[in-house]
Amino acid sequence: MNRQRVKAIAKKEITHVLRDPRSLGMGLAIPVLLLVLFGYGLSLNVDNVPLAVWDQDNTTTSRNLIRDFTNSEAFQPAGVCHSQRDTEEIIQSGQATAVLVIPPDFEEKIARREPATVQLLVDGSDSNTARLSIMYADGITKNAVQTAAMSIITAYNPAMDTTWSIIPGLIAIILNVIAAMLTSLCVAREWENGTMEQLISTPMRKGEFLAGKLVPYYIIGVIDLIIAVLMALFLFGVPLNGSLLALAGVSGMFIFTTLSVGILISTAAKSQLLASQLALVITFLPGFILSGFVYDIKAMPAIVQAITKLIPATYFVSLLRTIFLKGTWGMAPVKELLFLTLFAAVVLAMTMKKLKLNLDGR
Amino acid sequence: MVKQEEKKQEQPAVVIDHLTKKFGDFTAVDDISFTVNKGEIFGFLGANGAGKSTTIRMLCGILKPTSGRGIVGGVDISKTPEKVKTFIGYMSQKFSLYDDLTIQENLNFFAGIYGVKDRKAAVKRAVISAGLTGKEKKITGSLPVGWKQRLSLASALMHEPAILFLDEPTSGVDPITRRKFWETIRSISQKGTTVFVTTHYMLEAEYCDRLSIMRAGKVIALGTPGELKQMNHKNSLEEVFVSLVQEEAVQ
Repeated sequence: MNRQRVKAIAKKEITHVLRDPRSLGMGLAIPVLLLVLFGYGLSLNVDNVPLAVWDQDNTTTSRNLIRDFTNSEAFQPAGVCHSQRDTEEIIQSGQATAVLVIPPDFEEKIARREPATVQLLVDGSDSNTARLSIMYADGITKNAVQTAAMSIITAYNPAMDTTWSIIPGLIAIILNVIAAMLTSLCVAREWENGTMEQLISTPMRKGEFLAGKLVPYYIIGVIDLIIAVLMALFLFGVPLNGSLLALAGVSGMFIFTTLSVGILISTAAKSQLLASQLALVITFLPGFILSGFVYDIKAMPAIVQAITKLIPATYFVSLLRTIFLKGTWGMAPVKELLFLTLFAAVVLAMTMKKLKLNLDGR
Repeated sequence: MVKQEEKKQEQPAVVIDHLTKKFGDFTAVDDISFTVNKGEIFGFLGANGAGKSTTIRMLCGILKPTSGRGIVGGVDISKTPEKVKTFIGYMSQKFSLYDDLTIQENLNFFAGIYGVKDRKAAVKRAVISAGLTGKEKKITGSLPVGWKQRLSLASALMHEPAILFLDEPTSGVDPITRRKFWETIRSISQKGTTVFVTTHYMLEAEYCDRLSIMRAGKVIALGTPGELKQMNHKNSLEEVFVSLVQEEAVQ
């Protein structure tokens, strides 16, 4: 491998990227956009659920409870009811999606330290919002009642929980797609523009060509990773409980693996359009559906579970979650790193086989 | 001892021996044989689709022959095409440098690819010889055709190749540019480089030391411009070309 040649190709490739606003945008702006969009959009939190109230007790305790509800980020006041009929009508009209009903003996029961209950009527047509509203309401009520009865005040904020678990997986999914997209154009473009004919008339070898192509996109991939991690820590406030070194090592290997997938696609496909679409489908769909990011792998049929084990994103999603949230990092993830390395090696071997430095078969 | 040295000097730049290329059922190059001597300008004439480009591509090691042999600079093109590529320069018919790079970046790139030792000096020389001084920072895609062709030639000459293959280097440029281009080719040849060039223009063919005329994959005439005119009892190469190609067409 001639280093001067690899350097020449890498330098040329960087110039292509810097001079083309679209590829620069795809490389750097899209990951940020996706992270913001999905980070907020996919979060399973509910905010400002319109809540109506039927306060039959009308005491300091009941009014305190109502205030706790409306002060929380999860609920906002949406009306007052005075009868069973009112509660049904307000939900049916859509003015409120939940109604808090406080029974007449609420304060009394709490004073006597007896179990006190409140009722929450929820619009079940959006089951996800309904489920989360119940969860929040449960938390607020328990907290409020404890406060009243035992004077224990704790900061209790369930709102961030789901964002925390989504962001690390999301970083994995985004890097998965972007890295493959980055390299998916770089070989097909040479053929499409006719520049390959000049290149293959030079003494350049396949290995030099691929290395020169991979280096610049690896740099972009690492920049994306750094941006994503910084956003996770400072924009979404996700804690990094594991070590930074582990994060860098695992991500570095994963980016390389996915770049290799992109370059194989680019070598096999005849046009840039086909290559980029293939890269999107091949990385995004399995990454999103089968990696355990959205659906729990343990709940899948055995055969699908076996398939998930062949997808690099599966390992990356679980490793990133572990590193960020659990921080349990007693042993290095040797098995996972070994799989990623093996995967990259197989993909690059296929690329070497598929890549022809002549015009036959084109 | 003396005899051996003489023999080495006489070794032809290109030897083509029953070379054939088929694309499926279509025979693009049909059993051709000839040699090109060191240091000569060898013209390759023929109508479109006669098999000129296919032949050049095989000789450059970027297309595999179906059968027959091609020896370029003493190296077999079927066995070690990567070795051939170290001492040849190739300028393809279609402009194939990077449109989004500047003149200097294109030249720098090819200097790097060819492993040129003193790259800065080599690029500077190339810019001067291509007459592009002061235009190094211009984006290649925006250049006029004539400039692009000079740039292509400069890139192909970056590593001072022993044999230069030019595939219709002057198509689409004006006569003055074309004449200047040929002056450059002449001076390259005088420095000892073998030039193998395809063309459509009969006026250009007159500049060649020897010519071959191709039709439908076969070489139908070979010789110096004078010989070809004499053999066919014609006054100009254009008449020779037309009569030969028509003759074949009647058959």
